[in-house]
Order: sequence, then C-alpha cells, then structure tokens
Amino acid sequence: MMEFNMSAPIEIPHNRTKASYVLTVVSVLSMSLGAYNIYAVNNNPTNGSVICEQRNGDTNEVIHDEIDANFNSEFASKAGMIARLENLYGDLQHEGWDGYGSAPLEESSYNNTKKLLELLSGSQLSFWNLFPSPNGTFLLSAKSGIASINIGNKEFSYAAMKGEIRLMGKETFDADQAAKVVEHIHSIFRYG
Amino acid sequence: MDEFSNLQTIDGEEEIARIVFSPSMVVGGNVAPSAFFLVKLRGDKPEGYLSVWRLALKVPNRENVKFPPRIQGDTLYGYAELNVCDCHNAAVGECRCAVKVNLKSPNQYHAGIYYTKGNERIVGECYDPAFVLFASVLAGQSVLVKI
Amino acid sequence: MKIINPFQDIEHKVYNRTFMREASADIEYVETSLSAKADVLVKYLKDNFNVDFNPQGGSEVGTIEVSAKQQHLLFTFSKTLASVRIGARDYRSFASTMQPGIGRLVSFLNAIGVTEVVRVTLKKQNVWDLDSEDVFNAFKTAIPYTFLDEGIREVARLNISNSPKPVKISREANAEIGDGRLVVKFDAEILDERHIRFVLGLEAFANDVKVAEILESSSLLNDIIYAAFHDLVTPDIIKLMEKAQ
Repeated sequence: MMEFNMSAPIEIPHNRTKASYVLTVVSVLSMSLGAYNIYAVNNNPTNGSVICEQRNGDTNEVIHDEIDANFNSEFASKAGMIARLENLYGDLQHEGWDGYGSAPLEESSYNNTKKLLELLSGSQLSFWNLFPSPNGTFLLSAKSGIASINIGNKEFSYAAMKGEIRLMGKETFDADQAAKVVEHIHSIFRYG
Repeated sequence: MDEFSNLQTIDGEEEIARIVFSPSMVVGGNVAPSAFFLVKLRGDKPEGYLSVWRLALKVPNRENVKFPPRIQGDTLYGYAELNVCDCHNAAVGECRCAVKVNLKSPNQYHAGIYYTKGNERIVGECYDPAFVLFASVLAGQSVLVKI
Repeated sequence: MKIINPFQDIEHKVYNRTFMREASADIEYVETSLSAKADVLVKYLKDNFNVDFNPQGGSEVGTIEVSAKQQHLLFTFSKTLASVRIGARDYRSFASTMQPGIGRLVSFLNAIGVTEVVRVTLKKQNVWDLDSEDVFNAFKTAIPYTFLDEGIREVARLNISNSPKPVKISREANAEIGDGRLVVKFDAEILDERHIRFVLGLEAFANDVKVAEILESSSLLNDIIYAAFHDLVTPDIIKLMEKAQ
C-alpha cells in the first residue's frame, strides 16, 4: 500500500549543510519511550499500530497548492481554448454565419489551428482570444496589445505592433514555426 | 459613371456602428478583428467596403436590423461603435481607411469603411499582415454595445 | 546483477517545480538481527546521524527510525529492510539528494556485515490534483493533457459518466530491465463533484545486488525511472516543471 504525502516541492535552497536527526527505536517486545520522540512506526502485528505524527507543516502544503493551482489554470486555459475551437468549427459550417457574406469554416484551417494550439501551453494561450474569420479561417487575437495571427488552409500570417516595433509576416503553415512566432510576439509584449 | 463619384467622406465627429450578428465574434467584451475583414462575395465578387451604420441617423435595435433569412437560431448580438475621426487617423504601414456615404443612396444611415494600402484599394479577402493588424486596431478602438 | 535500460538515455535536468510527492529507496536483505549488532549500530548512528542509540539489554530491536528534524527525510532500519524516504520539498536531484541517503544505507549494511542484498528498489510518486466544475469532462480531457502514453490515455475513453462517485481506475504496466523490473502504476480518481486526482507511481528494482554495487545500480534504476517519466507525460507537464518561480 502506497503512502501519499502531500508535501511540497520546489524551492530547494540546497544550502542546508547539516540536518539534525531524531532517533526512534521500537523494540519487538515493548515500546521504548526513554529520551526519544515516537513519530511513526511501521505496522508490526507484535507491537500494534502507533500514531503517525503529521510531519509536514503549513509551508509544505502551500507550496504543493501552488503547483496544483498552476496545473489547474494551465489545463483550464488550454482545454478551454481547444473546446472553443471545436465549438466554432462545429457551429459555423454554413454560409453567412456572420450575418454578412461569410464562408463556412474550413477543415484545413481548423486542423492547422488545432496543431498550433496543441503546441502552446495553457499560460501562453491565456493571452489570446480565438475568433472565426468570415473567409473561413481562424484568427488568434491578443487580449492585450495589438497582435493577430491568421491561420489559413496553407498559410498563416501574423502581425504585432508595440510602439515603434512592428512584426509582420506571412508564411507557409508549419505548426512549430507558428509556435515560434507566438513566442516572439510574447517576448515583444513581455507576456508571462 | 464611376461609383466613387457619389461617395462622400463622412465628418470625423460622427460615430458609426458595425453590426455584430454572431456571438462567436465576441469574447470577453472584445470584438474580433475579423469583424472588420472583407470577404469574397457570391459569384467571386470581392467585397468593396465594410458596411456600417451612421449612429447619428439611426441606432441599431432588434426591430430595425434586418438580415436575410438564414438558419433557425440566428442572432443579433449588438454592434461595435467607432468614431470616424479615429478610423481616419488609424494607420498601419500604408494601410488606411475612409468612411464614406453614397450620396445617391436612399438609406443615408448606411455607410462604408473603404480600405486602402498606399494607392491601392483593398477589396475582398485579404491576408496581408498589415491589413490584419489594421483591422485589429479598429477592433481595439471599438466599443461593444449589446442589443 | 545486470540492469538494462530500455529507454534512450536522456540528459537529466533539475526542474524548478515537480509533481513528485515522495522518493524512496528500499534495500531488502536476508534477516539479520540488529540486537546482535548493537555495538556497531551505536557507532554507525552516531557517526552518520549524530544520534545516541542506547540499546536496551534483553529486548530485541525491531525497527530503528531516524528522521531529520527540519526535513522530510526518514531512514528506517529493520531486520530485513533498510530504507530512505525523502519528501519532494527536500528533493533536488538524485545525485545530490538520494545518493547520499543511499550511501548511508550502504554504510549501514557494511556495518552489520551484509555483503549482498536481495533487492534494491527505487520509487517515485507523482500526484496531480485537479479542481473542476465539470468533473467528468475534465477527467476525459485532463488525462490526454497530462499523459502521452496510450495505455494511460485509454482510461480517458472509458465510460464513467454514470458511475457513482468516487471513481478510481488503475492501470499497471511492467517492463523487464535485465535482473530487475520497472513497474508503472497509474491511478485516476474522481474524488468528489469537483476534484480529480492522478497518481503516477514509478518503481524500479534490481535483484541480487552486491552491497558494493548498490550505488551504481540505484543510479541506473533512477535513469530508468527518469526516462520512463519523460516518456509518459506530455510536453505541457514538462513546461510546467521548467517554469521559473
């Protein structure tokens, strides 16, 4: 039976030099309290069970809560974005869905967009909104700042503007390359 | 006669509205830049301008916004409000726009955003990054009004 | 004793964050009376932990536990088992954290005169806790988000939506690694209306190891566990672990 310890990771300032220790001895025939503190004892039918003292302090729990919170937010962001893509593609398969002259969303654009989203982390995706384009493609638009990435059937185009900085381009679609563009835009805007 | 001879650029003090039908064009109160894209119309005819309303003459509401019958469940979300002066001042590279009204049209509340890049008009679907960025600027300047 | 690593060698990185909750090394040997080795144990415990062991005459020593005061670090010595357990907070890397601990176990074995052991086992346990309003949908999507392995991803495709909560699904896989084995245990659990937990236990053991070779074999076992972990989780998880504080 495995034991689960909700102790905390990270922040290992391993400049600890010497630890101090507590010794616990359990004899087969009797409990030896003496000068020792009993923390925990293995289950031993001869001795019976003994209380396990909680070893982990509040700090440990807080640190584990942090990585769990990160995991939760990353997952929620990525799952949410992919779900939006699926919903848009599923819902906008008819002409004129925008009330004007829009075309149905294209399968290749959907596949390309999905490949890109799968490469990006939840925290990266949290900086973007995903929209459909009336020409049947998909558009990632920055929530904060002026930046857009248009993903088509065969190509993708991108543009970002911050002050005097301009980043623009149009390339044959490759998910890895598109992910690099996203990273570049993030560095321009100093996202996360 | 040249279609543009009837067009007059609108005064910068006016407010205009781009009707947003589909809720898919709005996330978290932000209008999609693609709401300002032009498309290829039926018969491969490129869309020449972006249709907007002049709010000084008519404010969109559920009764006066008409759209062609489509599938069941079609909605009217609201509109993205823009200031004409801001539109005229916006620039990304050589991309610009001008808001014009057709003086011969019986519906004077109806106007169009005409896009240009340098001396060339931008018509139909356009993937030029500068244009996509320009549309992002317009979307960023707009204020979403839900109907 | 020959251990074969079935995975491609990958460079070990020290991550800023980890989902690991505990790492442990267990060494099993033929039953040896600790009471009979009381004198050497007194010296060993003093030299290695600076604790005073005063054996009580007339009673057989069952288990000795030595726990660090400020760390989640626990050594256990019994007639058939010597082990070290380290909590994630105190784990930095195998080389800097586990090996010194295993080294102390080797010193113990030398002190009590054991020259060959039955088994050396290395274990690492990783836990992911997820909180979601739509727990069944999250169960289906969070598994492929977290794990690359198809055997684990299959769990997401099981029809559990009508099951009474809590739900726990377990999968186990084994791989021979020469004179030993790698055991992978995966548990996916819906704890209640909002909470999901994934537990990935990785255990690698080597049989019939000479005491003089324990450090080397445990290092190989760690290489296998490390590579297995990277094979099993997605790049999203690795990126999370790499993220700076």
